[in-house]
Amino acid sequence: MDTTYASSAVKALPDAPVLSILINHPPFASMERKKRPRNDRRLAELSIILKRCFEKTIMLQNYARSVIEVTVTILSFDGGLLATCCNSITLALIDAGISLYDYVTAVTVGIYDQTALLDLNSLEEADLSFITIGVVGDSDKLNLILCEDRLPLDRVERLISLGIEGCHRLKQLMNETVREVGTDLLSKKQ
Amino acid sequence: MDVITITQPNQPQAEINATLDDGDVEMEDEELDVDVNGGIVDSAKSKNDIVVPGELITDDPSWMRGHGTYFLNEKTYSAVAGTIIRVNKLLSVIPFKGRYSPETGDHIVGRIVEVSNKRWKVDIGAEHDAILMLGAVNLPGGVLRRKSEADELQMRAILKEGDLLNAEVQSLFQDGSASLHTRSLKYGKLRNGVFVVVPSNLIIRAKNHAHDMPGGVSIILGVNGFCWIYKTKENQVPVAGGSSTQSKAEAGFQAATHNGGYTPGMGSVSITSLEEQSSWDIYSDKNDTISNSIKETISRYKNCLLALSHCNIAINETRLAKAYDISLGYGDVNSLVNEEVEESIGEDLINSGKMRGVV
Repeated sequence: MDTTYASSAVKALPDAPVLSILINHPPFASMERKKRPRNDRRLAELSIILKRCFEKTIMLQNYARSVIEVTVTILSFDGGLLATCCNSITLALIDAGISLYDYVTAVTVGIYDQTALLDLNSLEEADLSFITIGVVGDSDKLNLILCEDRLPLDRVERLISLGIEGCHRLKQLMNETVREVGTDLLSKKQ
Repeated sequence: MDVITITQPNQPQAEINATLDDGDVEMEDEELDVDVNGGIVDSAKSKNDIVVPGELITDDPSWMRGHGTYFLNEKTYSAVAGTIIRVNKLLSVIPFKGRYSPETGDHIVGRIVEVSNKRWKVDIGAEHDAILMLGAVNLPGGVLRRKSEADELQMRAILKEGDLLNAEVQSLFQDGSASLHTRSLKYGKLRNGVFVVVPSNLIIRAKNHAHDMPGGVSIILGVNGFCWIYKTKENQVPVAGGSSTQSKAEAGFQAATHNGGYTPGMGSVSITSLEEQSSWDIYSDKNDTISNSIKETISRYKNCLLALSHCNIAINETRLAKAYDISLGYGDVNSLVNEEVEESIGEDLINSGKMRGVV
């Protein structure tokens, strides 16, 4: 996988843990078939954003001298790319038993006229201004925020507070699933 | 740490109390409970309490924080999804899944990935590769002798990259990586079989991880989830009561002439050059001749093992033997790779266990 990147980073600081996140967007995933260049700058940017976000969420001090490699493959794309990647990485890390401070859940919030909308699809994303926010657990702390459009400043606060609510709901859903899977695993244990 | 602060989860107090109390298996510290919980009423007593990352475990700072937890503002939170284990005043959370974390004494199976200065690096499915020192293996030509420079030079003749071996975790380093040893005749290089990987959390820890199964097949269920299914060794050296060194050597000689393979105890007395020769057989790369029926049995065991892991059923040798029995009713070995068949084998196993009251 991304070994060249990892090894160069390892060289820089021999004991420091390395987190590398790679996003694959195969041609069949979007509405129309489109081949993307291997080093898509947009995907590279997203992976850097995600890396920064999860470097603060994973308890990296427990992972000295190791590399945590996350590869996300998009199978079907219809908006909310960054948010979905963030949510799936959270679940993947929990599944892998990696120590996290808390869940990170993310969602997109857009604005249509006066109305704030949660979780836009790709058509809405193309036409409306939106931001992606990521929330730590049940708190109001954001550790991921991305805005690529113009937004009326007086609306931003409302958008963010709606987004946080959406994230909390997502966290609830994730929590239920994680517990369900855990209970199932335990029931077959001894 | 300045980045994240976490508010108290809005779960009912009763649930938090429940998480505090996991019905400790290791210690019967009922009196201690009252003591450390400091007035918190034990409302529910369940054995396994599930926690998720970021969940508050306790706000009592007197608890010691073990693996899978973190401490923030005098409160202990869980860092992984798993169950709480409490030993005296030490709280830790054992994740449901995750990489194998070695412990001293574990019987494991691993694969050599690197030969370096006086040591081998072994992939054991943990966060770090384990280390097998040259001094921690049975050197050819006599069980107990000191390593020499000649041994250092021909390390690849003993074990090379890609070789599989079973070993025991001798000790752990500061960063959690393991040091292995194979200084026993039950450990060493693996031959005559097939390698299977299952998640390490499915392997039930037991006294013994090497078993002879029905059908002329043996299995090593490594604690790290790496398993080895192989033909049971033939011509085990008969343990004659009070055998002298002479008779041992003789037995070894006879065994060698019989099947030309390695037999345990053969290298224990090195008096002749033949003995020296045969002790190299421990590290031989050549498989014995294995009959087709044995190969089929091995494959069936392999598929049963994979079926159990597909169904997330914890594995020990009795369950595997039972799964093998059940699988015989599902026809050919190659039909067992079917997902539906795997699932129905798992179901049958669980049901058969329920009927007898144990799984």
